[in-house]
Amino acid sequence: MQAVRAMVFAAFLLCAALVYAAEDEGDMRIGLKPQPASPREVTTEDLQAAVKQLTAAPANNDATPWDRTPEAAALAAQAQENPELFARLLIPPGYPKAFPKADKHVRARAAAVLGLSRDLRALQPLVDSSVYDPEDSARLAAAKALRLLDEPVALRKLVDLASARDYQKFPWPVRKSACVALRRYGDVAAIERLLRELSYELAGGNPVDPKNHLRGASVGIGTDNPMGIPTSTPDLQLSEQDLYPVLAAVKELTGVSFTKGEKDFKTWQQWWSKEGPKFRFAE
Amino acid sequence: MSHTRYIAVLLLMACALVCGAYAADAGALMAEFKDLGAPQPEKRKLAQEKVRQTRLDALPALLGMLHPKQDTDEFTRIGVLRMIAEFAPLTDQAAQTLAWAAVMEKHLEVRREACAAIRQLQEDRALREVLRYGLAQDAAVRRSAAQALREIDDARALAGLVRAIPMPSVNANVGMPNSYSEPNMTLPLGPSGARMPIFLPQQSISGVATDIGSPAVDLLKEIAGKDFGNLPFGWMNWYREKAAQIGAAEREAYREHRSARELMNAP
Repeated sequence: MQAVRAMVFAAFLLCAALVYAAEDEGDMRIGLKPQPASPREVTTEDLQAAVKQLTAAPANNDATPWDRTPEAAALAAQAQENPELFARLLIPPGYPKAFPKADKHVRARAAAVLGLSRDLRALQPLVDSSVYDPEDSARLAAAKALRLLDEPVALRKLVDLASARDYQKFPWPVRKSACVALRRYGDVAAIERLLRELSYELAGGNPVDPKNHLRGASVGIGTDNPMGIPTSTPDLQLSEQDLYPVLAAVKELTGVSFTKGEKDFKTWQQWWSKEGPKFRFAE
Repeated sequence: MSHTRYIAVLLLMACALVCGAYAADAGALMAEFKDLGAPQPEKRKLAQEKVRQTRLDALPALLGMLHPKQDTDEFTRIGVLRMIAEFAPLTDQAAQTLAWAAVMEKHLEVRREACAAIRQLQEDRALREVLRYGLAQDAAVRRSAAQALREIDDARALAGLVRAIPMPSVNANVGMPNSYSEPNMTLPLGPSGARMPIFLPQQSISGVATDIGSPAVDLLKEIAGKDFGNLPFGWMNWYREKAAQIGAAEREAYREHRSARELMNAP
């Protein structure tokens, strides 16, 4: 009898514990997990209205830059509510989902608005715009807007693009554009990050560079190449930028190059330890 | 007997109640901290302030938010990792969680953020754990750990791996000398340019080489993205070049001017 009473009491306590645990979060449900609400679809009317707002002349038409006007601030508040709308306006014509009326001025202002909103959802569209937009003014606005987001992930993504090894997917003009975006972003941490990658790229030679083949690969009995088969370096006829993507990015970003010892990490390390503390990006 | 059982069941249930209370608290905290990855900076700042206020209680909840079964999004996990980094010196569990996040997280940027935290805090326990992942059986885990080690870029870890490469051992069994049936070579030393046969003893040699491969070498190949073979010397030189101790020209100059004694690896 006592055992039955104990079991009943225990069951009661267990239920109490479960209810207490579930009460605050309210996540005890039976059945399929509900899907999060999908963001509202951006209509053509919305886009047209946004373009009209972006191209409207500011009420106080003085020399104040547009991104510091009250109109821009109001649009930034709107962008916090619906960043997808302005992200769509960043897409240049010819790309999927582009809005035909989003000319270079609209795109530059949309980028500025997204930057002012400081909304993280704008990060990827701004990274894409700062690298791939065909107009320099839009790329500049996107890179400056990225800086306003104050998010290290943006810098890492730009560094990835600038030093990408896949020269077919990311040809040199794209990587160069990413370097320019990094310069406009203006954070020295990008150089430090690239130099870390450079140490891996340069140390010990390059397996695809016939003029700077791998140094010190072990050969002979007791090694994993016992027959001493020579490692043939394929001559892929690649440019210097494709053979050394990180080196090319560092040179493009810093504007520094060396006539001697450029493919030695020691040279770059010595330069950075001397110049790093006072380094500033050229305007 | 029945009294003992009664008390035991009561104790068990009391434990369940306490655990339930803890889970409820952690759940409530997690719900509050979800804004660490909010798109709006004001919300993020508010959530960060909440974490700082509930400093002691926050850490378990933050670690719980990194659990793979939690549906926290990428930026929330990044925000959580940034807050965990503020709790330095970390507990053992936090260090292990950092290492786990650096290797096993599904989002690339979250893995990088964990690596950045390990690098910034110089968290040796987490680094050791990442190295352990690098020696795992699963190739995907090894690859991911190699990426993490490259991202952390800790010189001590790389030097440690180079030091861990074993020297291969080679046994040679020399057979009986063969008969001098034919000359090995002829030299033009005779009168009027006649060639003189040179007979040299010939012996068959058979041997076994062991310790040719090692997990440290495999991991280094993954980290460097280059293959310098399995001898420690090649990797040591790679490490010295990477750490900017020597340049390629210095290394080549040394190689070209080695004495015969050095070429034979004589002590």
